[in-house]
Amino acid sequence: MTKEERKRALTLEKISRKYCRTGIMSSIVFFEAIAVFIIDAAMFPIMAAEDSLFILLPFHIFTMGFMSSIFMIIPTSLMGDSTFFSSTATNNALRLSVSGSLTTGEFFSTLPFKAKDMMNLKLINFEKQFIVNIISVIIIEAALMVAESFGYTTLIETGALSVIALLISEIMLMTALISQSKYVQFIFGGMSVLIPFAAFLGFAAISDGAENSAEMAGRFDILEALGIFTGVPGIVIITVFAALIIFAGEYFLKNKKDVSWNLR
Amino acid sequence: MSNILNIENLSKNYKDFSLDSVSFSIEPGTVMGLIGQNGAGKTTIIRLIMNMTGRNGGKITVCGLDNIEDEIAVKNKVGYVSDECFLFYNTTLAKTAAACAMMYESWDGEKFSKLIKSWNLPEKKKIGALSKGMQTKAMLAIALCHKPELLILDEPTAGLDPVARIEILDILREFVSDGERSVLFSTHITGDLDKIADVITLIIDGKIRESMSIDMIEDKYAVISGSNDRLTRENEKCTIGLRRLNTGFEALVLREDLPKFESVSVKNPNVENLLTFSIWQNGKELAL
Repeated sequence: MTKEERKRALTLEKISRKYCRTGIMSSIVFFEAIAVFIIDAAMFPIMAAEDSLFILLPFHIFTMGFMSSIFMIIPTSLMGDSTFFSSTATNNALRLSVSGSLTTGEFFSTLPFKAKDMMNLKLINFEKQFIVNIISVIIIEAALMVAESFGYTTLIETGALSVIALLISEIMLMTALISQSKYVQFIFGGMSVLIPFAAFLGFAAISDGAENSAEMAGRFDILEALGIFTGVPGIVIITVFAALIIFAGEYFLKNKKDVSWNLR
Repeated sequence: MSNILNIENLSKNYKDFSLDSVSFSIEPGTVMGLIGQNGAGKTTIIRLIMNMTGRNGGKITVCGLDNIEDEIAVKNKVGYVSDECFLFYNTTLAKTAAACAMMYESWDGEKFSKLIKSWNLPEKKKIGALSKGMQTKAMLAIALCHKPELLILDEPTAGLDPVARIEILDILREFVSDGERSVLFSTHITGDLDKIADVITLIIDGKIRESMSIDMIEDKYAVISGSNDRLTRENEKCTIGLRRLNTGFEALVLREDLPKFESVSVKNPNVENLLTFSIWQNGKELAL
């Protein structure tokens, strides 16, 4: 293929705009919402009999964390493999991204891409994930309010802890992006995905222990302070917090000089 | 004509190793061999040029362009081959090339087809299934076909059979034959550099010890050998590197210091001598 036959070389920005844009984000959010409602619909009849709806909510955390992780993987992979979509070869892009994930950084660093552009792309993906988080919290809180309106008992702290879990994971993700330390990136980058799962385990433990009203009342006292993270205040908190973290990330990236691929 | 590569006061700090104010440059039409012992900093320098890792100080320009600020333009001008295959293992060479063709400003598809045909590289086979030599050639084919001005190779011939090594050396010789393109070649196999290098840059423990034309090595240095009683406290201080055996000694010295040694054999040094004796700077006793 000569230069004349081909349009301008693909840039990271073009690839990311082409394949990581709102359409994909919206479709993934929609998919997540559908998954949450399907799980809720499946679990409601089972849990309603025992009036232990609060056990249901960890599944929101699980779904949210899982979907957020998928949302991180898919756009990044599609970005890397969008050229394969357009190539004359068969469409093996997703399989390629999984197999190539270990060498992605090394390979891209040899191509005419800028390390700062890749960092910016990751930041954009984080921003989209944080928006997904906010939508997830809205879904969780909405599910809680709907359940309460039907007379089910809900443990408000599960909603609160889900907000806190998301806030912690957002801090970890952004720290992992900004920090040039491999240790921070390794620990925080990996742990941020596990936070929602840890929250799920915590909620399961709480729900297992709260078998009667007296115990639940006692636990409510202990966890009362978490009430601020539920309902509308919880949604406001995570929205404002996510915006602050995004602002910090954008500011850092704008002023960061000498960005490298930060490989071994 | 300006230099293809300029490195000024480059530094990089690791926990137990530091690159200390490294400076050198490569002129157009030159093959530069980067030599040094394991852990000397050769790969670190190359990875800093490619911006794979962050630097602590200094400046790197390729064809006058800053390697970080103008990274995209620089990567279009640089072809890179690593000692380990960085291509996607689960895809074929054909698909990889097709993708790369869309990412570079220039891509010579005809040249790529000719190269893989002459090297018998299977286009439809997954890269992970290729031998090490074929993987190196695959990386080299991709590196050559986007019309780079600088080829950077990090130990590309390690682990290759002699035939493959000769083929790669021939390609590099042809690459610089137009007098406008250059090669930076890091290797342990000093014999390869004797064959094609124009300039040698020697790095020891993170510092540049020497950077000179390969012809000047013989003008500047000499390898002497003789019985141990030919060494005195005075003339031993003049040795750049010294190796003692039970049967005698061998040393690298500056030619200007030759009169200080009596009754010794003198021979011209090669690249290997320069490397090994520089490592043996503090003297090496061999109990043989």
